Amino acid sequence: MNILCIILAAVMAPLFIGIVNQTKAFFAGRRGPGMFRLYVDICKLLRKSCPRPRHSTWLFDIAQSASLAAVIAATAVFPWTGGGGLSSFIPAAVFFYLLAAGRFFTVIGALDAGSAFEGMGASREVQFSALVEPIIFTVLGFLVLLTGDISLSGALSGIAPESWKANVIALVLAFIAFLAVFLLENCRVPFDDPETHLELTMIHEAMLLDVGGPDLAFALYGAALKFELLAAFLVMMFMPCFGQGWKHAAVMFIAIALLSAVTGVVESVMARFRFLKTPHTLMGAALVAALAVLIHVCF
Amino acid sequence: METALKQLLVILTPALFAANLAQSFFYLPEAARREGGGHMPHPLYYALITLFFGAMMFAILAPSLPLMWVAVELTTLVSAPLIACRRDRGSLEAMWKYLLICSIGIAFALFGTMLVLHAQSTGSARWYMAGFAFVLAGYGTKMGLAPFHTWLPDAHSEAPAPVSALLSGALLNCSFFAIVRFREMMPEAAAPFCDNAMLSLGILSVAVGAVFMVRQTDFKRLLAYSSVEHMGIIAVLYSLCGTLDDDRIVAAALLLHIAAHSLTKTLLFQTAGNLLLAFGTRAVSVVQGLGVSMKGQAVLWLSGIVLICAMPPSALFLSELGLVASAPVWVSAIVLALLFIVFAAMMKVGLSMTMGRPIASPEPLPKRLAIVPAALLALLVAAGIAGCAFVLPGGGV
Amino acid sequence: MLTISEIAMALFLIADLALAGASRLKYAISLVAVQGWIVGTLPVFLWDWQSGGCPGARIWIIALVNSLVKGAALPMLLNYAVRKARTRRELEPIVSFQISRIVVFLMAVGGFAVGRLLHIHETTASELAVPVAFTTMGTGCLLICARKKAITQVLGFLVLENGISLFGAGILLEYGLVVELGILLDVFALVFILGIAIFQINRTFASTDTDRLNRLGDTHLMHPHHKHDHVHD
Repeated sequence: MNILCIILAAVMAPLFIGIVNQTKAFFAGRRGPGMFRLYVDICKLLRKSCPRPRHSTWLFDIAQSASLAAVIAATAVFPWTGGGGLSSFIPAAVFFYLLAAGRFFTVIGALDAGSAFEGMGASREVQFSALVEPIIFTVLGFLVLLTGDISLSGALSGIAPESWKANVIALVLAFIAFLAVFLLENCRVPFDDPETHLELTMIHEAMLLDVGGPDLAFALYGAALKFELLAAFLVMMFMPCFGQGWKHAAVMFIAIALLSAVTGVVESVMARFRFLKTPHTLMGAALVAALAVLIHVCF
Repeated sequence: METALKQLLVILTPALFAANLAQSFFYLPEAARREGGGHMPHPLYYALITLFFGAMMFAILAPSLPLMWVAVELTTLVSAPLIACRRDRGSLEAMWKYLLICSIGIAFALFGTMLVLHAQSTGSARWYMAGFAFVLAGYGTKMGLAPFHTWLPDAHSEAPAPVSALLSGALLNCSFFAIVRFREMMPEAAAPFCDNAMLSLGILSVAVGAVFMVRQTDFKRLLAYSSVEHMGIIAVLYSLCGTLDDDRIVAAALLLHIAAHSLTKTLLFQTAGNLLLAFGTRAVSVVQGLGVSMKGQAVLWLSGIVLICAMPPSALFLSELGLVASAPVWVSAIVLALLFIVFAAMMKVGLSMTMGRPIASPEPLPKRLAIVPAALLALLVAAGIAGCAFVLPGGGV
Repeated sequence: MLTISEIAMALFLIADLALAGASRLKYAISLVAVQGWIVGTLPVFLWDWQSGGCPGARIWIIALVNSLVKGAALPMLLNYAVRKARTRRELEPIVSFQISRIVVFLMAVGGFAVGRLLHIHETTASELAVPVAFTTMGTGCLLICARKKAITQVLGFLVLENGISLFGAGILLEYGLVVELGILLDVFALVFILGIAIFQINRTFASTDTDRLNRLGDTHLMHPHHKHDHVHD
């Protein structure tokens, strides 16, 4: 059943991106491309051939596939049913290591393409990932302190409803801090604007300029999976434990859908921050995460 | 102590207000004429100064501690526009500093009040001590205790003379009274902490006053720092009240010091205001040779300086004698040494301004400007001589 | 325990952090307004509804007047002063925004440490109230000291005042209606006078930077050609 849930999660990933886009379309008064647009795009791209930059090496060839593989691995270890499987003995940090591995391959691929533009994108990607690292690990530390369990499923779902009530303030703060990670890692407003697709201001997608065909499909699918994974992390971190199995998975997918809709709303009502302001905001988020730890430790 | 001080202030504050109001009637039209336009309208001035007096009386008579806080903050609010009466750069700056620094101080006093009120319900000495620390810092700001005194020289030097006199003579006492009210509430366990805090701030204030009076080039600022110094002496005297077994002499000295300082400082600030009108500057280097050019003002100024330095006919001599006689030796030694510096600094200014040859020629002043200071001087000398004659032969109270 | 007041305290903390990093005057003023609303309505949330029944008129009046003055009137006054004095819209920091935020965080650490030391939670309505009050007071002092404009000093004073009121509400201090309104009136009048002063200072000095307000001191008569005698603008 665990495996079934993982497969379900993998299949549903592009749907959540669709929800975000539909919400934005609704707010902008457009009809929108439809919930399932990303499936169509991916299928279309998979049928095309794969162009390669002239000077690239095998690194470029494997980059997107390796990146996607890492993200799929992260999906596979995630406790979709609330526990069991790999997630009960894998440390929570490994989940982020897998996501980081995916980013590593994307960056390597971008550098290998030899374009100055992609190099810049890669540099930004690495810079911001270094800035979100403190937030991620402060939040993780907070979760481990809270639940006393270092494994991924334990840290995420070990919060009993009673202790959830006692710690809700700290949890809200951690949630806010991780929300910043979620939005930045998925290149969402206010840190980045997915509307400016492949433009200079983009953090992540500047790296994909020379990628096409099935590789681009992999990249897009990987991004969708990453969105779903981080949303799932955010939801599970905040929700109290309410049993395992199908019920858990179902509640989780509904919550992710809600979070996607919220993301869409945020994107509709906010403008992108100035590029220089992003590090400041991230630092604020890190401090908020530290406040969560502080409140938890002191009370 | 609290009751005695309250009784004294209830008499002293109206007296000071009356003296300064009378002086305002003479001073203000002259000042408006000589300093040119831009002055605050005079009815507004009188309204504010009366409100200021009312707020001070309210602070002295307030039935509860929070209400007293409201009153003390009110004194800041109504006196601030008076400081900026001239509405030029200097006075605006002084007003801004006064408002801001005092309000922040007073905000801390509110916090301290809350802590003390809370301590009353829990009864823990630690809460009492924390509360008193904040109260001392808060009302101490208003009282001009170093290191929270920074607003005082600016405000006192920029305000018109009667306002400076009222600030220095009456307002500082009110803030001191606020501290006294809190100190009297402290339980035994917190008392040593409170007294030590008062003592150290007091000595620090005397030291700061002394250091800044040396080589002071502005005679109104000199008087302002003298206020800081005397507030320090008052704090030292009050801290001794709690620590000594027999505190009657110190208590009497404290009350005497407060009254004598207020009256002498009023005399001095009013005279300084007259000199400012005559010369148009507060620089000691310009106002020289008063003995030749303005004999009357010279007498007032020099005798005022002599009195504030606690030379024998002064009542301050008796109170400072009481301090030195009853304090622990090391406190007496430090205070005496600092007082000597103060004496040297003040006498240097006093003598150089009154003796020697005039540098600038003053614009003659109308005689009525000297009425109130002269009356104050007569009162102070008479009271001082009577006091000395009464106390000294007996060798104690 | 989850109560609305605890969430309000958390919001207060975040507002402190945001204030330390706020670079726009308008934004900072709205943050102060948010704090004002929270502080104003807090007595109602801290009221013991289960055993105390419906709170009396005192609580309602104080909550209403407090939130109206601190949440609406004072921010409006400040915005008006900003417009009238034609102050530039940015806050000019003396201590950078980043360092200010870290300082505020450290103050929160200190506040929580003090809260634990004093065993405050046994005597207060909300465990968070006292540490948050300390942090807010610290933030206020930071804003007063570490920003250049005169108006930020007023802003800092308001934050300080919010912290103190939060403390009072948190330890369930009851003064009585007259005193509460008196305190409020004082604060209101103070901000009003300060607003007028800003206007006058701006007219006289052609700037509201507080580093222009340094003519007075103990040396200027010795150096007649003081460096700030001329206006730089």
